[in-house]
Amino acid sequence: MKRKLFGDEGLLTPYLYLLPHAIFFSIFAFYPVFKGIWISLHKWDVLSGERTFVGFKNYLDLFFVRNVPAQYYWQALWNTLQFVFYSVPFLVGIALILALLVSSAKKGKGLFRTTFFLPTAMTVSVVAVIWRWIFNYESGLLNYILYSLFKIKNIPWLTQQPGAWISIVIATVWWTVGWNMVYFIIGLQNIPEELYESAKIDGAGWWQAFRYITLPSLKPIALFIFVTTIIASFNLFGQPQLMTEGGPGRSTVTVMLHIYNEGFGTNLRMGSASAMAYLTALIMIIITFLQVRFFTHSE
Amino acid sequence: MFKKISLILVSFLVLSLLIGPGLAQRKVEITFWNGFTGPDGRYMQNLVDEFNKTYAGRIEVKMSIMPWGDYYTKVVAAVAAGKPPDVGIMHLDQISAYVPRGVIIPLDDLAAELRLSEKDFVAAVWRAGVYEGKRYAIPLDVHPLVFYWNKKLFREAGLDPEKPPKNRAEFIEFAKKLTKDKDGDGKIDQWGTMIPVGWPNFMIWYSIFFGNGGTLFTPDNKKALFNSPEGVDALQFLVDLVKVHKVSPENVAVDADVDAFKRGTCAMEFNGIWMLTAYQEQPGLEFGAGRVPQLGTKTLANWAGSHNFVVFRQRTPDPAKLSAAKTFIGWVSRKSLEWAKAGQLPARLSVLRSSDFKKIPYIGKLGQEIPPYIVFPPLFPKYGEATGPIWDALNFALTFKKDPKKAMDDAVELANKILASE
Repeated sequence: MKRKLFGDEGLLTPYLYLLPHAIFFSIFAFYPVFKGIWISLHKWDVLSGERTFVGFKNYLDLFFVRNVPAQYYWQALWNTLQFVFYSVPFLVGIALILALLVSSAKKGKGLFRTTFFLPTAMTVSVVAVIWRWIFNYESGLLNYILYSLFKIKNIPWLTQQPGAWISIVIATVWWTVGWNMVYFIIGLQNIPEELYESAKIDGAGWWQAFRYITLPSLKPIALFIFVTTIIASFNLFGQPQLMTEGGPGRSTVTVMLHIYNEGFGTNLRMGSASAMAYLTALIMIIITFLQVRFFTHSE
Repeated sequence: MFKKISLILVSFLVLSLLIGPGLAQRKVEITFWNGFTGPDGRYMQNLVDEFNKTYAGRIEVKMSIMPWGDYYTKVVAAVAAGKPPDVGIMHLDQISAYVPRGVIIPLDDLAAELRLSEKDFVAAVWRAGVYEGKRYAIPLDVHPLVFYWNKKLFREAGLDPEKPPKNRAEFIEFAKKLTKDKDGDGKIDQWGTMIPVGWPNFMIWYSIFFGNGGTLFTPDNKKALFNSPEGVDALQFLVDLVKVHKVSPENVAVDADVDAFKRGTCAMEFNGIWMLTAYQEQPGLEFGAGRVPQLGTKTLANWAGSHNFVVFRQRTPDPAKLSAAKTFIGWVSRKSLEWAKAGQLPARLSVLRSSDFKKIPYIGKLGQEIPPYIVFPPLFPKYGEATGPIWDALNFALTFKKDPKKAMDDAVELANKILASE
């Protein structure tokens, strides 16, 4: 029997459905990824267009030549890892708590969901300005409240550690936790009601139902949330740029800030900036791989 | 019937589309990019509109305004894509990065054509646009660091509101008088000054450093010199204002000084001339603005930046566009009195000294006081990267992580490494 090329059963039909995405994917993702690797093998001046092939020099420089951009890179990577470590538990944990609260609300589900999700619609500059005033040392809202209620002396939130990280984590959680909450709500909706009903009949309490039904059922969505949240935290950029200017003493300069500066900012060295970006991507891939392993193994 | 009518209509449409561009062929369109996102953008738009009206049918300038941060990123991307704008505005300290890369073209002929001469310009600005014997930039304005003081608070402290401090000793004395615990709760609620841990503390340090007679780099730009006694002293002075004299709070974050000055809880503040409009619009704020007092030990010195016109090199040069670009730059350059109203100092002396300019509130006065003391940095491609460590050093010292000497030594070590790398 001869199959048609087009139509419902056509041989080409599934590929035609994929085509639009494939075109955009190749132009905006596939091609840039390989072009980027190509750039990272050059000494590439983006302004003059001058480029010399240098092989793996940009990568080797990062490891073996302690030049200033390399020094800054490792420090920035360490700073970023710290932020990932501080922020991800809250971004996931608080999202789960909010999702549970919103889902169990008897009334106004939509209102709460919208309220918690609303900050994600703001741009980072607005978020940064809001929190900069709240965390201001001398006249900030938070220090004012702390002093008038508890007589706590002014805390230098933005200009000393650990205050700077605490401020950035709080601002980030407030800004982006809505996404993870929505994912968890979807996850919760997908858990069949019968499971809870039969658990109730068996005499399970709230905690047991949560521990043995809710948590295991959320595992697939939790993996997705952890992976995307860690990647998002790795990409931290606007908050430190606008809230702390990378301070105190470069401690909140993140990898993305440094790469941006190396490629587009004062330095204009596209090749070495690309090398840094690919090294960072490799680290992120390894971390993602470990997470998937961890989640599937502990089954 | 309906079909016929629509057919006729469509053919008219197509025909007019074909003929339209043909008729307007002689009009030259040029693109003009800048970062005037503040109130200054309105003034530039007015100038562009007026120009387009004057040259209607011959030249049309299309202006795009974007934040300065994005502007440079977009210029880099546009240049890399081979589609730069025709005309752009560039800060003085950026030009040295663009010239050696062949991105902008020399404008000596335009300067000659416009009869621009050194005599008509603030000397430092004029010289700064020249790179290896050729002029690449036509100065539009100068934007210096300005010393702002709150006149009402001066009166309350028994100081003459018309007499800002002149030197370091006076500055400290005034600042002490202006630092007060007004409600007696043991917490200071009015500060003499505020020294931020970040922006724009570099400009303050820079003014004191040059006031001390310091030099940033060796003449060949191979070695950094800012850990000299002049550099350390300038930083020590800023730290002492916070630590020893206690006339500035600790931990002043970005823009906290601006906010405090507006509310009247900071009596003396250093910021760019670009804050002027915001302070003028602040209800109830009675303030003075002047040059930076002589906080250095040797001379008056004042940090300043400058906006300049540049023309980008196109892959396929179009003589008509180039000449239109030059016409536009020349036209705006002659209108610098209009531009001064946007809140910057014009770069032309003839305008600075004109009686019309002197009449503009604040700016008229600043235009007389500041220009003789402006110090522009030496310009070379690595200037931006090699001064980066100074920003870090100021932050380390003002957050008490390092003492000033150590902070400056570390900064010089980094800068020397940067200067030595290829």
